[in-house]
Amino acid sequence: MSDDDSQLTNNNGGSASGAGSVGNHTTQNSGKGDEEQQQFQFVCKIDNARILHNILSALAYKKDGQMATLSISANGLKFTVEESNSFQGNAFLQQELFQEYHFSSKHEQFKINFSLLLDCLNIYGSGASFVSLQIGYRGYGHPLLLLLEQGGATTHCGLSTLDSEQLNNFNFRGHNIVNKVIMEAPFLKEAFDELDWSSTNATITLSPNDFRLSTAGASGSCQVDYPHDSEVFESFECKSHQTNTYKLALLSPAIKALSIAQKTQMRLNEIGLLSFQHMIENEDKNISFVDFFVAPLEEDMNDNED
Amino acid sequence: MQCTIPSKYIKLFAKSIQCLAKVGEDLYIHATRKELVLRTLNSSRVAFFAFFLNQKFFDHYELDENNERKFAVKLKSCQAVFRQFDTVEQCELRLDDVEDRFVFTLTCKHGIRKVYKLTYEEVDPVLALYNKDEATNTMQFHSKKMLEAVSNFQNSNTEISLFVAKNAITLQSHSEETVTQQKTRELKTKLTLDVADFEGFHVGLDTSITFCMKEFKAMLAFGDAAGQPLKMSFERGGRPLLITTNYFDLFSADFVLATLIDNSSQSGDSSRDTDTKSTPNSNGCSNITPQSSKRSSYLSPEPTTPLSRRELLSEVASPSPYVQRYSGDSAYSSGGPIVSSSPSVITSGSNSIRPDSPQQQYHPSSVNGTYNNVYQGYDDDDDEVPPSPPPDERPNKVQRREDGYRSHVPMDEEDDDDEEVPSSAPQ
Repeated sequence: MSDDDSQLTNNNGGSASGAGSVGNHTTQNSGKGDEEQQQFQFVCKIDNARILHNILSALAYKKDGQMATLSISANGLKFTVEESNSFQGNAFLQQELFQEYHFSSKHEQFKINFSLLLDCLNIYGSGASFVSLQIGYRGYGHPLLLLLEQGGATTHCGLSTLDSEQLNNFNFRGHNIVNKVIMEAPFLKEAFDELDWSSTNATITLSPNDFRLSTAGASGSCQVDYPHDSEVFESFECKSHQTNTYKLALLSPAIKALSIAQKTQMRLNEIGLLSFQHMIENEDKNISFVDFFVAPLEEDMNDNED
Repeated sequence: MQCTIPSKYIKLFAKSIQCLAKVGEDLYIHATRKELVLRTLNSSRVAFFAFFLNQKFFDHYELDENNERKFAVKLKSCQAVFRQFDTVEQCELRLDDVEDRFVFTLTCKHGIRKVYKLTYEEVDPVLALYNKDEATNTMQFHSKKMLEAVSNFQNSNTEISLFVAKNAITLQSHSEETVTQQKTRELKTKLTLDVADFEGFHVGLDTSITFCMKEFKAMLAFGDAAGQPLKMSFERGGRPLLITTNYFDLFSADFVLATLIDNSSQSGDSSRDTDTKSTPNSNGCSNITPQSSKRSSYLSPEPTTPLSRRELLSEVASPSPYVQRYSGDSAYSSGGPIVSSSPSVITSGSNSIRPDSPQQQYHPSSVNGTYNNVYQGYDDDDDEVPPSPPPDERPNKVQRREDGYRSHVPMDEEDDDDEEVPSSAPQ
């Protein structure tokens, strides 16, 4: 078995390779043998990999080479993407999503190539039939193993893992949550789409009366106002008037993810940290959450008019 | 200046902006007491679109102290405003002098309010010279049919030819076969239309005109949205193709497309040589062709040139200084473009420029006669060119080929060497 192990760990990045001790290759969906299972720190199995792919694609904002940190815990899997200490996106895959979830009480956290992971999950394309997926992890130093199967065809993937850095803890709840808005995702997406994406920053203003998005660029400025009693809001809570500016580039992953979500909750805390919680309804009618944190820009001392 | 567009016309307005956006980069707005005019010119100056919105079109139309305003905004920004117009319930346009912005305020469904403040530039509008009554051939059609017909042509065809005879209308793809291009790779399309589909079909002279496809399609798309018949009038290759439509008395649009000078149709021109030479521009007469035909007699036979198109839309004549003087900051009047127009044209042009002339000339920027340049935008780098043509070009009508100016059409039969002339570089 160890030979097979090394075979897999030798691979760089992901590989749809043959041999491997990840279960049987020939038949579909057979679980790993007990013996093998002992070797794995963590194993989980899901009958429809597309659900995972759908949720995780909410975090995919780069075309290629995006890294993510995977945290394995008793509750489920959490994928985190971060950008320059001002942005964080998290996707939670609760253990209830999986048909089998064997957690060996050792909390694992490592970095993997997220783009590659998504490519592997999508390896059978977006056809109609289900793709079953098994994920296995033997521990530190071993690659993350994926076994995908669709209609008799099996694919083994091994993704190299990297040490992960300390994840930012934005401590959102550390400061009072001042404003909370729940909106249907398409409306919010439309609002952001109206903005001038050529500008670098967007300003979000929340007041008891309305919610305003604005951008200012070379060709002029654009502003979209939503009054608090508009039908687009499922709920609108505003304790105090707040204006914050965010980099559009950091907001854009959250906005892109809106296309997959049904609803979203936007929250602002006292210091202007913005949090998006997207609610995604899966194919199997379960709900999953993906959240984003974006830090505001510091107040600029000089006024940039024009 | 302030006006409000009623909700029933928002779609029409949005479609007109979208149509203009497909053509040019800048939107020239002229708010007069009577109407709001939107104009644009495409970068290669072969298409000029103008929309005239009568003040009755608007719910509310007001000019501060009855002052006319003339300014220009970027079409890309305007297009972004109207990207999604189906939820818009009300639209207000306002020129805000305090903030120095042109403001669009859209009130949409669900109480959403969108405000776009665009930077603008106070400039005189760009104008084209054309005469609606001049045409020998006219016909009316509905854009749907024409759109269907044109959809048969590949997008790679930049130009399309329309041939009319007493009882035949044919559309044909136009190809500029150059030495470098492979003739074998082209797909030629020819489509014949039924005369019965066209009302008011009147052909004075069998003729064929070639004009650019992209702008034509943009115009058809608008025509489709407006739902009104389009009236096409033209004379022959080299003279502008004019398409007009109107929505009762509220709204009218003029679409002017330049046409390639046609090889075979030059013959009749020489007799009209001095015709409109001195016709003042303020009449909006396109008085260029006669000039060019006159000029042509001095020219050695050369293949079709792009110049004809330029001539169409401009009083090529005037060297920039004249235009500059009267056109203010018009982007199109600055330096470069004109240059080295033919002497005769120059003269006539300058005669007719008048400061109070409602129309002014804009001119092509390129001196280069190469065919390709027609659509690639007349070289903006020609802006460096000194406005007035060098003295030695002026005196007589001798056309020098070196300046790459080709306005002329060979006397002999149509031959397929429409290749670009190995024109010399513009100065």
